[in-house]
Amino acid sequence: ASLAARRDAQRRRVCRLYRKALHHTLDWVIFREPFYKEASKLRARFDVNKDVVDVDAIERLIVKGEAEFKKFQHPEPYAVPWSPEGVTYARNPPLPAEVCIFY
Amino acid sequence: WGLLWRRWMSAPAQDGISEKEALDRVMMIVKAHPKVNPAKLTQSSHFMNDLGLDSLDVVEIVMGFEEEFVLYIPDEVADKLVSVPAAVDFVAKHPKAK
Repeated sequence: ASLAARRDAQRRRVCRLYRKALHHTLDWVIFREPFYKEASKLRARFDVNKDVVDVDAIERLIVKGEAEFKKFQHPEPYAVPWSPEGVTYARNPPLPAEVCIFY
Repeated sequence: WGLLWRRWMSAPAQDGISEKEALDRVMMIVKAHPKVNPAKLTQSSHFMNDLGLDSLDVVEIVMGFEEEFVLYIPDEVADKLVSVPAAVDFVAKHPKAK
């Protein structure tokens, strides 16, 4: 039914929100020990609404969470260097086979 | 001969990680999660079905993979890493896994 599809989409949205929130928390709090504390707090906030069953209530909670995340975002999130958001992306593309380098 | 020399100078001998090492490290990361019972963990456990983890726990474990292997895992791929063999497969095949 479309209800199951909606719930699935909501589950995916919640997971992605949690993932981005974790990454940005790590960006704000650079060291591991305070990051684990902040991550536990974040998880506790997500767990408070774990048992909500009504689809519309879940929708409202997700929208509220995403709005809060928009304010909380880090301005310069860290990305793995070779990733599309990273620093070294396409920096040294592989050379064509005809080129030979002699040192 | 110049081609051989160029080949030796440029590409590393082996990209990525071997399957065995990937398996060891993946199991280590999953065991490190506080909600996981190490006695139930096998090579083919599914996070949600076998280990009884929540979807948010799976997100945390995937983030652990990202940090351990220094990988970039986009959202669509991360949705699919829901079991130990899937994760080991993904990491072993990834050329940039450290």
